[in-house]
Amino acid sequence: MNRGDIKILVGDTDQKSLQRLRKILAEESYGVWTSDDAGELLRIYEAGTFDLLILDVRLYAQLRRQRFPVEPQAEHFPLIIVMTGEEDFPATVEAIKEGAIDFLERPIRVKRLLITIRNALQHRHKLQEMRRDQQELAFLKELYERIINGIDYGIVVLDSNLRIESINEYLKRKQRKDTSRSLGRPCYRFFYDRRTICNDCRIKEVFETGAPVRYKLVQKTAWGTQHYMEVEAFPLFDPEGRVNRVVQLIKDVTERVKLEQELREKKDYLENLLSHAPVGIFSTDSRGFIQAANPAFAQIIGARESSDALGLNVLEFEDFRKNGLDQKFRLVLEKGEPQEVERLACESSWGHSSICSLRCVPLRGEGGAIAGLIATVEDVTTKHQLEESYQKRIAELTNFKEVGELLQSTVDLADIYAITLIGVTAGMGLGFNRAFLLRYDRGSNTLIGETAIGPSDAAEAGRIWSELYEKKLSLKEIFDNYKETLDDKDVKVREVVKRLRIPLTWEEGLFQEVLFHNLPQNVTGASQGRYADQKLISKTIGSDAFAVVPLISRGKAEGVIIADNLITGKEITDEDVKRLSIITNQAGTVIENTRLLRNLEEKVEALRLAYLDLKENRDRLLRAERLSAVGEVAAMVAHEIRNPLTSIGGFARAVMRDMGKAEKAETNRRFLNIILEEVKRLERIVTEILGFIRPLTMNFTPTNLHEVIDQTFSMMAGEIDETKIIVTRDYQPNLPAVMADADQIRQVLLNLLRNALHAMHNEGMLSVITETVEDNIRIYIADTGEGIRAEHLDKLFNAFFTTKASGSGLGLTICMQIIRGHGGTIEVDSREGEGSTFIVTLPVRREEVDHEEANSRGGRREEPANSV
Amino acid sequence: MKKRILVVDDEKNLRILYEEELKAEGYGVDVADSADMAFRLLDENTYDVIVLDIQMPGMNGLEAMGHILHKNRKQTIILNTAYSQFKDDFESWSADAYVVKSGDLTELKDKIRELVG
Repeated sequence: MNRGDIKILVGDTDQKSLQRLRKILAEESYGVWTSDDAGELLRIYEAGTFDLLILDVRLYAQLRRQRFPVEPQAEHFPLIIVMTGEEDFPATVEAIKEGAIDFLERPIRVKRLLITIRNALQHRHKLQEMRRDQQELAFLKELYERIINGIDYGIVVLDSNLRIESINEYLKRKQRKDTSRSLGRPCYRFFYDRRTICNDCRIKEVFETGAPVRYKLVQKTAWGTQHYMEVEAFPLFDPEGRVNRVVQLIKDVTERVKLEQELREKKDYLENLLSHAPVGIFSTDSRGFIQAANPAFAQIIGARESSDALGLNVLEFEDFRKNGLDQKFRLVLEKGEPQEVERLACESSWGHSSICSLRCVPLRGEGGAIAGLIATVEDVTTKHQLEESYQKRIAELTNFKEVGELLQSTVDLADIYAITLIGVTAGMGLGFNRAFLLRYDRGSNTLIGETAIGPSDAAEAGRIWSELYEKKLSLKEIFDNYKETLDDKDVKVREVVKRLRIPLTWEEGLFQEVLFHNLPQNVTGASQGRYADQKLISKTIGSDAFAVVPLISRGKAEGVIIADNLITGKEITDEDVKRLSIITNQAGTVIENTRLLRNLEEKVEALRLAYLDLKENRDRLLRAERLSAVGEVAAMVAHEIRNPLTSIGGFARAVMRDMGKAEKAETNRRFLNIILEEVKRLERIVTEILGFIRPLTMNFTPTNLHEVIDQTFSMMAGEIDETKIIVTRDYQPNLPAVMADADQIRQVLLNLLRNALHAMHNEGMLSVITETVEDNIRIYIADTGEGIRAEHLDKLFNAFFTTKASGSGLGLTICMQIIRGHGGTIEVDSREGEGSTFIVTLPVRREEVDHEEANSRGGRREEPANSV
Repeated sequence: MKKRILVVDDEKNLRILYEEELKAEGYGVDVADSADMAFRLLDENTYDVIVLDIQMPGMNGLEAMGHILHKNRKQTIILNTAYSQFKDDFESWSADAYVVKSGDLTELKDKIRELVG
């Protein structure tokens, strides 16, 4: 530091001394500031940075009172030298106590002054250096403490007696015990609560050998979990080179150990899995060399153990090349395309054959480059066989079911036969090439060819079967197809079967066995057989091997089914024959049901015919009876009067019985009233019957029908007025007169209008319309009443037909007879619920009808039935 | 327990007569003026005997008998009619008895007693 950079502030109350000091110091090239006033000194001091203050001791005391700082706190602190006289001694001592570093006695000598200044500055420099060292130390201490306390290691320092000298925060935290008194205690006491040193203590070793040790520790916690520690202990040496302390670094590696354990377990598990997996697994490097393989893989390729497979190259391996698998592996290794191969038949060079499925994916290394492949090979031989047999079984059952359903859908014998044969020959069913059905004719004791299904030759078979296969037809569809082609004449098997006649009159024969002993036969070498009928059938159907099963219904021989594989030559197994029997049994059952049904139907039909016959006879009888006029009238009259007679008789008896009983007087009166009522009814019936039977004498005069209608309405005025019925009359102007008996026409109209009123039950519309149609006049009498039931329309004009509770059933009959007597007709048009219209048609110019004949027509012999 | 009889007849006076007479005999009697009404009663009641008229507007007695027997084959039915020729009718064979209407109810009463005891 240059002198010029050293700033000195001088304060003295003695102006002369001040001037002198300034001069001396300036000459020595120090920077000098001076003042004789305490306040000014303070200002100057605060404005600048001074290295040295030379102050009169009294000024110093003044400044101190103004809290002038003297403690050397800051980096830059001024050195204070006080100038003092003899009398100021106590103040000087005080200043020195407070931090002033030196004093100058007045009078001040130059030499002394300069030496004092130099000493002070040197002292200051040393002080500054010392302070920097202290700061450095403090920093280092803090740094190490932070490190030691912050790291995840436990650190403990032990002295030669194994007493703890220091212990870091981490370890304190970990120990979870009162660590405040840990210092100075032996480590075994603190860590393990032991009174003596641990048996396996390694620290002692460090003290003895001076070499660091590493070891592992397992600590069990109170709740049983284990902590794994890694300990490193190294010595600290004293200046003489003796070990005086040992530092222990303790690392908790529990997590790492656990991870390692898990990893190991996982590895074991995977290895276990791999070696016990039922699936073959192997991996190769990028060139296709097998790097790893499990026992299952070895087994599949037929090797003894998995190591035999190591080093094989999947691109070269003959067993793989045979199947083209090397190409698949090449795709994986070169293109990175995963590969799957299902159901590959494998034949290994170790002589092991199987059906396998293979899956293969590339293994990728760093940067996605293909580093090899990993493949699984599954031996699906058993699965495959099982599946095949299941599928076959399902197909069979489906076939049985479909055949069963189809059979149930028909009662036609020919259909049943055909369905059975289709079931026998259909590809998804039993799959026989051809099937023949021979019906057993009991009368002639002969088997007679009935129908057959099957191709004529290999070419036709190929065509039909591939068509069936492509279309995937159901049995039902095949059956429908069959029915469509039923009329085709050129079906060879059918021609063959039609020619078949096998008499069962031989003493013994194949068919006797089958049919009468119910023994299905699987025949081979038929042409050389011992039975004559066997040779015959073999020759006829051109087949040497075939199955024959009986068709039995209700325990009775119905026929046989013969099935063969002429086209494919496939061997017929006993299993096939068994299945053939199942289908045939189904057919037998259905035939039985059909027979039963047919019998029942026949019986029902016979009964129905018998009933019809009987009914017809009875009707004929009744008609005959009714045709006799007397009989008919008698019956009708009998019926008509029987009801009132029964009433009268019954009540009369009751009255007579109870006549004397006073308590019955009221009842008797009521009964007598009924009797009177019924008698009145009888009288009315008699009148009607008389009117009906009486020969009608017609008195024809030219008659204006409108007048007659009007007269009728006025006769009925009272009846109509009682109701809410609206009457409309729509007359055709200038209606021609007709030749008619006005009284009788009036009676007809009266009857028809009354019927209309009754039909309407007091409400509705009654319309009368007249019109001329050609030579006839028509009178329409239309009501909006309840109408006439369709089944009653026919009988409407029959005598004694009535729907009214108290009607005689003669009204319309009489009307009809009167109108017929006029050469006209009455028709009716009616809908139930809507109303009825009666149409009376009368000829304008009455034909020359013989009066006598007209009268006789009014008689009882004519049936009026067809007039409606 | 009173035996119950259902009389079906379209003649009002005959219904009154049968009802009175059969009640006097100690039977429980319901009456119906048509087959339809008889069916309604049969839906809710059971009868030991049904006395059924043949000639009725609407459904006649033979037809009604078919319906009734279809529902209950064991139902006892007496056909009671003015027509004697129905006795020959095929359908009327299903009836348990056939009585020709008469002011003298003795035959009817005998039949009923015979059938229901």
